[in-house]
Amino acid sequence: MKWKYGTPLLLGTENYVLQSVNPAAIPDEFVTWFSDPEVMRFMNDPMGMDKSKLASYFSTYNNKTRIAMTIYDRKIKSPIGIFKIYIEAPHNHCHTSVLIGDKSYWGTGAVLEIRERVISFLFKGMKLNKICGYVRGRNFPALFNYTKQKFTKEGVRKQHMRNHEGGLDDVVEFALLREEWLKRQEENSNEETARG
Amino acid sequence: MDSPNIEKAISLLSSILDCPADSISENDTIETVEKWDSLNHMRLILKIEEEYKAEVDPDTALGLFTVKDIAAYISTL
Repeated sequence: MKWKYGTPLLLGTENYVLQSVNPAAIPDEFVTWFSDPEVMRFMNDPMGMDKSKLASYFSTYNNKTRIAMTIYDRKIKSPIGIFKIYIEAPHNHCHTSVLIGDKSYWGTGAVLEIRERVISFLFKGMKLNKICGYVRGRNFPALFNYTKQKFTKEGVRKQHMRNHEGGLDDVVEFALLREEWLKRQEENSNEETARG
Repeated sequence: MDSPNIEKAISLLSSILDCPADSISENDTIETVEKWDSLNHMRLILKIEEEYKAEVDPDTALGLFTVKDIAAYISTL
């Protein structure tokens, strides 16, 4: 894929399109999502931002070391969530986070499909060595998804992050190494070949 | 593994996944049961917490991805 560092990023899957958030055109859905305690329960972002504050917030994403992409349903062209990538270039790794704001997409496998595409971009396109994910301990859907996607649990940080209710949550640290992912790609490819 | 715990694990799963208990076997996992998705996984854990008055910590939650895992956990409650 052709992408110039520092310019808006566009990624696609079978069912979704991811496009760098344009701070000058924040979708109305963002305001709704960022005000919904259920949607924001496990997110680190501040809650209750209006469009102007969201525009300011997303203007800090530079499409270099910080990338925020709106996730669109490819068919109905509506935003359903946000995928964020934070790159630590000197260490050749990044961490990612995903928010699915449209609750009708919860449990549909959307996160798995979207993250697989982002993983491919980060390992093949960006040549990163490691992708990390930090999950709050009670975020059972995310624990499920990272496990299903063969990330390794590297540890649990106890009472590590403040939640929106004022308490402190444990945080599970997951990671996937490029070599692990490449090996899995090769195994999947071999299996497909064997099946003919 | 005690059979009653396997049966209970299958019963919990079938009620959450809204499918017949005999469609789930003790060897099933998140990889083999299509309806065992992230949302249903959360519902399953919340159901276990409610029924057994327990709180599932992250390490435990990360070990509940098979019928046998669930049965083993239930046996400790």
